[in-house]
Amino acid sequence: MLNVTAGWGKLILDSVGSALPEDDVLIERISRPQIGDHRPQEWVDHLVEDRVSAVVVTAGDCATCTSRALRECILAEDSGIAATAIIPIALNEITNATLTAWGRPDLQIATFDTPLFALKKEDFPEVMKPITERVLQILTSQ
Amino acid sequence: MIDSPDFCPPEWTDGLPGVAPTRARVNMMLGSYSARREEAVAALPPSMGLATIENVAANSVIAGCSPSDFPAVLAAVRAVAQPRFLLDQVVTTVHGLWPMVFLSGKDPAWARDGDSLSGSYGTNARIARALSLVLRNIAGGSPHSFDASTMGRPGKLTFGVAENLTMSPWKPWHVRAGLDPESSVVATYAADSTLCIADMGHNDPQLLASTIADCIAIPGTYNSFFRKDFWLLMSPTHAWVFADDGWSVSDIAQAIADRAKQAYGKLRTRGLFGFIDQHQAPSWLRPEPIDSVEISVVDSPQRLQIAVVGGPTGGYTTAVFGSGITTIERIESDQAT
Repeated sequence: MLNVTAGWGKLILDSVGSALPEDDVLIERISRPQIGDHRPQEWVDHLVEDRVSAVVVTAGDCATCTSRALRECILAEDSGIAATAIIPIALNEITNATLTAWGRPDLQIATFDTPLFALKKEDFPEVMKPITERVLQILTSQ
Repeated sequence: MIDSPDFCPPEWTDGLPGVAPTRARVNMMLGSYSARREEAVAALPPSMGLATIENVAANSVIAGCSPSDFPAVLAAVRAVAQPRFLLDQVVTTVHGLWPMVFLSGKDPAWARDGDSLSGSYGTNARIARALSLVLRNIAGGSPHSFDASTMGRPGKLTFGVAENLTMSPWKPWHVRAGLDPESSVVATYAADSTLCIADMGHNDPQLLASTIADCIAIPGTYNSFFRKDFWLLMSPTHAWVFADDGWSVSDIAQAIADRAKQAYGKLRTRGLFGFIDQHQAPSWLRPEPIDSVEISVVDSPQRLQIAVVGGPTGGYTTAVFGSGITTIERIESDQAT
């Protein structure tokens, strides 16, 4: 399951989704509000109900969305769902702060260091290729 | 920064010097709160750090507060901790949001006259700075932690303002908000930039309402997308242009809300509207309006928070843009006893 939120999130997940092995993975793309009242446990409860096996989240360059998406990752893992996030390295500090504050500094995430503003739409598949490999590595090792 | 035991380590401050919170100074700040020093004030998102009476006092010392400022600082911390303030969003956003601290009531120490937005008289600025430091040091609101603001803004250092009651033609803001006239309150609002709106010489309330409305109906603001609260800090001169003609605060809010409009077709091609997909749109965009519909950037007149601020000369209104709901806490002057 890929969870799209804001900013460049859609482009990132389009690229990652298209690189996943089609035969083995059933992908569902979900967009939902990240701004406003945040109910991460409710969200994760839905994932459990839907018997989701893995979650990949990204929020592009939206920092609030990234922090909130990371909390969802942690809760998903706590509920037995393999989870990871794709995060621009520019949001490294808020990522570390969030993971530490919620007790999971060890949560594995996939980062990329190209500033999103520097990427054209057609650049995403190439830039996201190693990210996809990293995502798969993280999810299959959990 | 000067290396002196009177200053605290730079990582505890906002970049400006802070007073070292020695045990003696914190005790002085606590005063009659001493027995309750370990009492929890609130767990503050996003880090969920626990604000206690004692660590809020320590941050008040760093900010240079006097003990008489301390009850207002505690009230400000409680106000931003209310869930509907969405503190985690305010602290983590790439936007420059940060609380504005608005003081309404009778405290004689608050600065209410000319230059009051600048902090020249100290009190308001100290209270707001203490709140900022609490957010940095307890809630994780520093750029080395949860604060991912792209640019920040000057008001993140301190943005405290008190209502000018003596020159206002209206009841105090907190009384209009439904609170006891004898109480004093802190209101907090997730603010971004301010815009100084000048209108002088007309002395016509209709023209003045239109000037203010035209100035706030700007695509590209958070207000035009989320349509939450909007603060208008009105100089006494502007307030009396309306009041002399018999306008109430409700009349003013209605007139401005009615006029602060843009065609939806223009709004949706600008600013945060680029973020919309079907699942991300605020509720007012469901169903999506047609392009020709005129949309007010003010969701309803009740969203406009209007208060008189500043000195007697000059016809200005400062619009405080931002995103979110205003939260209020009473300053309990007797809470230490």
